[in-house]
Amino acid sequence: MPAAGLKYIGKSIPIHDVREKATGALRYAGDLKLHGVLHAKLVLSEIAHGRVKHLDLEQALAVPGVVGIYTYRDAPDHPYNSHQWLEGMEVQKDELIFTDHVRFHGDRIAAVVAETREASERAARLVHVEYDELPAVIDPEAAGLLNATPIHASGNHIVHKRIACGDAESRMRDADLVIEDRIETPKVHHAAMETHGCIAEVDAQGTITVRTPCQVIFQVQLIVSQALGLPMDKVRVLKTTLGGSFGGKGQPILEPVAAFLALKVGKPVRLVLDRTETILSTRTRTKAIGRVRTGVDRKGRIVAREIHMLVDTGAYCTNGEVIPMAMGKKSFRLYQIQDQIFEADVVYTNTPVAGACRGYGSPQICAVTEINLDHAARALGMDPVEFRMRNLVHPYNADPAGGPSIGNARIRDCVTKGSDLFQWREKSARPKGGGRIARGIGMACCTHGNGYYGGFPDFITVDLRLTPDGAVVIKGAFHDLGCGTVMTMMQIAAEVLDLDPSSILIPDADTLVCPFDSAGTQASRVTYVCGGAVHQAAGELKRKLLESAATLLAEPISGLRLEQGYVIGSSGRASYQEIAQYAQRQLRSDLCVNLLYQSPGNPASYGAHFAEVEVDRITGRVRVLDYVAVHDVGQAINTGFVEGQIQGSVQMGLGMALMEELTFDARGRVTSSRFSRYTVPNAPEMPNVRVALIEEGEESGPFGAKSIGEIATVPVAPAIINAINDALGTRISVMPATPERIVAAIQDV
Amino acid sequence: MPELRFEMPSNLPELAECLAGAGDDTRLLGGGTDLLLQLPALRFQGTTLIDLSGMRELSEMRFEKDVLEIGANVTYARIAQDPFIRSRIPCLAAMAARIGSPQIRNCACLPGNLVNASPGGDAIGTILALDARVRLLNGAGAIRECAIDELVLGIGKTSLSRNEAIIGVRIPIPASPWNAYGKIGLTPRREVIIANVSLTMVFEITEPDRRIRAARMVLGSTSPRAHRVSSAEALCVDQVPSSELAREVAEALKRDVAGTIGANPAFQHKLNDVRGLALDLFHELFALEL
Ligand SMILES: Cc1cc2nc3c(=O)[nH]c(=O)nc-3n(C[C@H](O)[C@H](O)[C@H](O)COP(=O)(O)OP(=O)(O)OC[C@H]3O[C@@H](n4cnc5c(N)ncnc54)[C@H](O)[C@@H]3O)c2cc1C
Repeated sequence: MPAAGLKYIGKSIPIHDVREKATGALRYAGDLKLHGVLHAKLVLSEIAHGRVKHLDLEQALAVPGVVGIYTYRDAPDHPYNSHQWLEGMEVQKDELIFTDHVRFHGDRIAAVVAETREASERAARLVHVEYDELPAVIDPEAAGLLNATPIHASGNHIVHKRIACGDAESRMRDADLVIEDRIETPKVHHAAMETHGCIAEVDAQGTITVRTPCQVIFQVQLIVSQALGLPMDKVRVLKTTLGGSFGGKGQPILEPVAAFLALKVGKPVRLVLDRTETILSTRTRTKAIGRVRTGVDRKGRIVAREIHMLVDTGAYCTNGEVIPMAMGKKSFRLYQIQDQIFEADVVYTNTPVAGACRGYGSPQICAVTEINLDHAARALGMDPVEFRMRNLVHPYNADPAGGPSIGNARIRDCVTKGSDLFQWREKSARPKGGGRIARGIGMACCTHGNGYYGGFPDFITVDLRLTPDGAVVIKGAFHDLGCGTVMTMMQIAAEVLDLDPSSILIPDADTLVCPFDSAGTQASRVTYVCGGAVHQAAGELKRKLLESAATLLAEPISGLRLEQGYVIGSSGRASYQEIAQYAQRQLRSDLCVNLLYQSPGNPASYGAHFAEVEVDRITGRVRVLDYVAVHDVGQAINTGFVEGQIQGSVQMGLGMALMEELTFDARGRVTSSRFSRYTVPNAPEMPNVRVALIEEGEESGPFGAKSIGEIATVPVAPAIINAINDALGTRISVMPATPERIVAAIQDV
Repeated sequence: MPELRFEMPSNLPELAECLAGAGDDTRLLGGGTDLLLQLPALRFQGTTLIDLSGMRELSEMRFEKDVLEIGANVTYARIAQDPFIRSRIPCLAAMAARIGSPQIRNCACLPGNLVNASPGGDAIGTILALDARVRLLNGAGAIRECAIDELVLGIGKTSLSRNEAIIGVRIPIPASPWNAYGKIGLTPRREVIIANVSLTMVFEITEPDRRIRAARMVLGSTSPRAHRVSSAEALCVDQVPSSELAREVAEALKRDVAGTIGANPAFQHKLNDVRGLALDLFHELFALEL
């Protein structure tokens, strides 16, 4: 529904490239055909930990069509951290293009470059690697032990983090009940439809151009330049159409490799992974083991809480130092808890590398704390909704840990609306079913941020120009990952300028063309920060448009208004086209704006999810029967996109709750490296997800909007696990709750 | 680079000719849903594919008195949708309806499943439970028939020689429609799953006393190849279907699985699944409260 008085905001308009996507006309990185392109295939470690003793390339080099094989002996020795997105950020630089100290099953040892894909694959199979195998550390709880084999020279413990407010320790002593849990969330694969891939080429001046489906062009530029020891202006990055990312393409992984190979062979190099390579050697969601103690009083108020998260970042650090802070901050912004300690320890393990994954730590901490809160409600004999309502924040409550204002925080509205829609009261009065099939309900609340304000520099520069043919071109580092960023920006500009979105053009992000953006598509900042920039810049452009129109129409600005591509005055009107041309000819001016926009804040987004499940006590199989998701989005810019994000998020969260998990054998080799072994929920698993939005507006967001894409997956797993526990009276503490684990939990009751 | 060669016979004599020239690197191509996964490897070693899709005569289903003959090119989609099969051999329709996804069912056919001889091959168990026979053509143009357990020998192993092709499957039509099929996946999902356990039950029941005269029960995915469970079958003979019988059969099947899987921890959940599945099928067939 368009909001009152608004023409484009709140409307469902299909994504800008819907036609090309539906007809198959769109080209993804893997589809691009560059003249003379060569094909690269990675040689990945087959073991979880060890040293490469010997590499035998002879047979591989003999394969017809092979151009070269490049290994850790050839690659530059410039360590980097792929998570770094700004020059000067302090990070652990522990990654290299290739390595002879392999630290996980899937670590990069070498790459074959050949004239055809077939030849590259054939040769890569013929590279014989001999290893000196080292003990693999798979269990994060064992990683920090004294006898654990060190994965990096610095040891396996990376960092300890702490956030605290009040005096949790002594307040805990006053609690009537203390409820403790240990809850484990899995390492999961992002499972974007498009696997990872990119193409790099070098021109005669030695400038490398990388075409890549990425989330942050300037980060790719930075990492490629660091890894290769080149000035940044020698690297140009063009974002290609993304077939999904979910954070998995947030960090540059293949780009430095492809760029290195292109430099070596002097020709364009295409490096596209298959599914198994993508599962093994890109990024995963961070595995976490949370321990939580919540002290409550008899009235159902939380008096104190202590949380400890053990964060398993895998074989390389990437965002391991940042993700615990992202987790921790959320636990101070959802409930009114004045006395709380959050601590985290981050460790290396010999497992695939963790990175950004939709929610950036929030789904993990939310699972830990929201499952624990249901146990608390149960221990108090209190309804979980009622219990939460006694503790949830109110709009504009202060963050007791000193974070930015939570803004117009409408979580209580979400819970109220959701319980009504879900018929929580009626459903909770129903019997659970004592026979083979048990039924239960569960819910969970969540919060997430809107950008980096308060943590990292958060600003974007955008260029807007009204062309002499009446169109608007917006240049900025926007990265549509498939979720509608471009159309969202178009709708914002369209609303301000009263212009049909089809007259607005937003080219794909390109480091050479787009003005600088400090952080890219991360941290749920796009609608709130980048959208805020477009909103303000469009306002500037409107002002310039009116100024020129005032001269053209010889009327004061105050009497002019915009309507559907025209400026209307009392005596006449002029089209945007006429005004732009008039400005060029008569005023020697161009209707353009270059605007630096600094994020004004970091309000919190909220959501409440409700799930009803049926569990087979014999087989441990779960069916999610009904699902309600209510989100405080401030204002939906495009209602269809918002709903789409929520629907997809529920599917992703359902996977984390019930089936998705990277599994390992005793030596640490991944046993779930293909989709027949790594199961994602498909359409038949999905309940009818009913979505409702709370749109009460966030003053600092464009038209009142705030984030949705990440937060919507945050509460799904705990809502479902709480429903299973409600059905069975179990205390499931390890996700995913597979049939085996559910049957075991029933036996423990 | 080794070559990929392609042959496309359009009738039985042409197929026989192709088979006569078949070598170790020759593969028959049915729906391709198993074979194409091996293609990258096959391509590296050089392969001849004999594509059966041009053979119209293998796309037919023929009903003769009490036998249904399903041609080698009949897809699962057609089997699942066929009204006669649905009403008289519901276990076959149900099995076909749950192979893979719609895309897979639109390509894949029975012979590929039999020859692939995976422990999780769903058709093998149902075909065995129905006491079906397989028709084979050889390079000399001769046709022979064999039972399914003479064809499928173990994991990935069959008695098929390289100059033989399956041209059809002959299924005796059960006298009464008291048969059912079910599977529970290796993974928690419900659809597009490889079976953790599959089960086909075929009962011969006489009216009006509703007594079970004979039963055939076949478990899939719990042993290297699908097998009948005579201990469970014997429990049913001369019984009227009841909740007690269902529970006893479920326990008997569970014991059988316990015997075949041993102590391997990765397989223990099959014990829960087989019990649940057995009760499901009794419920489906006889509307028993379980
Ligand atoms: C996504 C997906 C889901 C699947 N789901 C299931 C499932 O749920 N249950 C299940 O059991 N299987 C499943 N499969 C496996 C596969 O679909 C079945 O085994 C199918 O029956 C194979 O038949 P096809 O016609 O595709 O055989 P093909 O792939 O063409 O052939 C398989 C093998 O049989 C040989 N062959 C084929 N036709 C003949 C013939 N007429 N005579 C002699 N040899 C022949 C081939 O040479 C090859 O060795 C799935 C596969 C995929 C890709």
